[in-house]
Amino acid sequence: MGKQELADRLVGILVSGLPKDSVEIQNALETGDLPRVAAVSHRLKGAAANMCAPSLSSAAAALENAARTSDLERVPDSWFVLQQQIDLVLEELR
Amino acid sequence: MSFQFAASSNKRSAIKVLIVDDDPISLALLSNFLTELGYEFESATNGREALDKMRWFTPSLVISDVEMPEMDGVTLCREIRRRRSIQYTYVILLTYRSEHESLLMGLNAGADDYLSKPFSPEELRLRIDAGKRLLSLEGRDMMIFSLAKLAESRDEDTGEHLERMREYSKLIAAELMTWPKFADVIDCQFVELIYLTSPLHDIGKVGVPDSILRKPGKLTPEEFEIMKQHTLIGADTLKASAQAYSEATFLWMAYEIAVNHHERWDGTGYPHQLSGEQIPLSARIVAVADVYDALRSKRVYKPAFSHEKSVEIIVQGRGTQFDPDIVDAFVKLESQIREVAESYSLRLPAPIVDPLSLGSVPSQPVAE
Repeated sequence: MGKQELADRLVGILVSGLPKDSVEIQNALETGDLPRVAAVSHRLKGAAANMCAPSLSSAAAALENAARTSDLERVPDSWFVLQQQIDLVLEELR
Repeated sequence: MSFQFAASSNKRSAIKVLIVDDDPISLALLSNFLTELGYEFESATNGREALDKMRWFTPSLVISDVEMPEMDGVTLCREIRRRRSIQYTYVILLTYRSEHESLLMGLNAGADDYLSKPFSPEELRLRIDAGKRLLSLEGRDMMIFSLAKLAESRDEDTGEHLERMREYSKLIAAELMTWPKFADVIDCQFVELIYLTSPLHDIGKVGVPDSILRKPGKLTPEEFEIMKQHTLIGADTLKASAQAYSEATFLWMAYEIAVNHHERWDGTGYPHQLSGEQIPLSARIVAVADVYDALRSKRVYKPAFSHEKSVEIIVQGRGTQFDPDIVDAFVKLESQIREVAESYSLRLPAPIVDPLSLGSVPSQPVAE
């Protein structure tokens, strides 16, 4: 597989995965399942780091952190920032 | 057929890899790297799935993420270690720099190495190479020692002879390494190799009939001639292996030792009556180590001699049976040699007196 081909494939995985992750976090937040929120944002953090998307990665890290420490004040704020980052990335890559 | 395999194995590596990560991007990247490096691999998205796959796909290398749903990487690692598999499974954990604590837990659970995300293909390649080195070393050491043990199992009364004599050989080689005369001949690798291969010195005994090998009395001259053949039988086997596997350079030292460890410095040994420095250094060292251990051991034809008496006999052989330099090194190391001898005899099981069944104390083998 060529480099460009690989990059295209990875972008494809990211673009198709982001909306699903977004829905999954939203659902978990609604049911108060913070461990699930942490797990999904953790995965997102890794994916973003691999894709050289540092802002997306650190936004995901912030939500992961807030969810893990059950910091109920920071969870909604971090989620808001993360959503913005997700939208930004999606807009750019689509 | 075998040539074909050798040629293709350059491109396609023999080890199988299992990659475990819940992040599809990470899996895609790893798959891509591994494909480029020519590895056969499978992937799983969590620890549970990984263990399921390991039932039919037996990887020797597992590269796993730490945090995953269902079963995390630390638990996976613990499970892999708990299950006894035929071969060792090398585990590399993928972590973030922030996951220091889970990394420690992972190493504690038996992970061999770790890689921080995000990593470069080059980094991954180097870590896999390190793992492969360990896996091949393990295979090599295990093979050598089990071969040697197999040969030994037919001999009576040898006990931990192989363990002790490889220690003596290593001590002597390490001492000689510091002597200017041997500085060019012995390096650390030589010391390692002699430790590794000296247990194979009597491998040819598998070809000597039991009636001679285990004869309780003195051998007749004819029987002794057959007994002497063990040097040549061992040499033939090891030489054939060394030629077939040219990468296995350690087999050449094993060969040298097997054929020459009964040669004598004065040229009256067997099988080829070599003398002096015609006898390879490795074999000259093993000759001293082997004889000392035989002297300290009880045999059908002799009692176990004391350390002092054994050293005395070795010194008497200086310049006739043995290389004078090696005897000098041996004498210099005398107290360390004694320590090894005694630490091994101490490690033999002491008679266990079970208070509940005092009547049936098993008879214990005497330290030989």
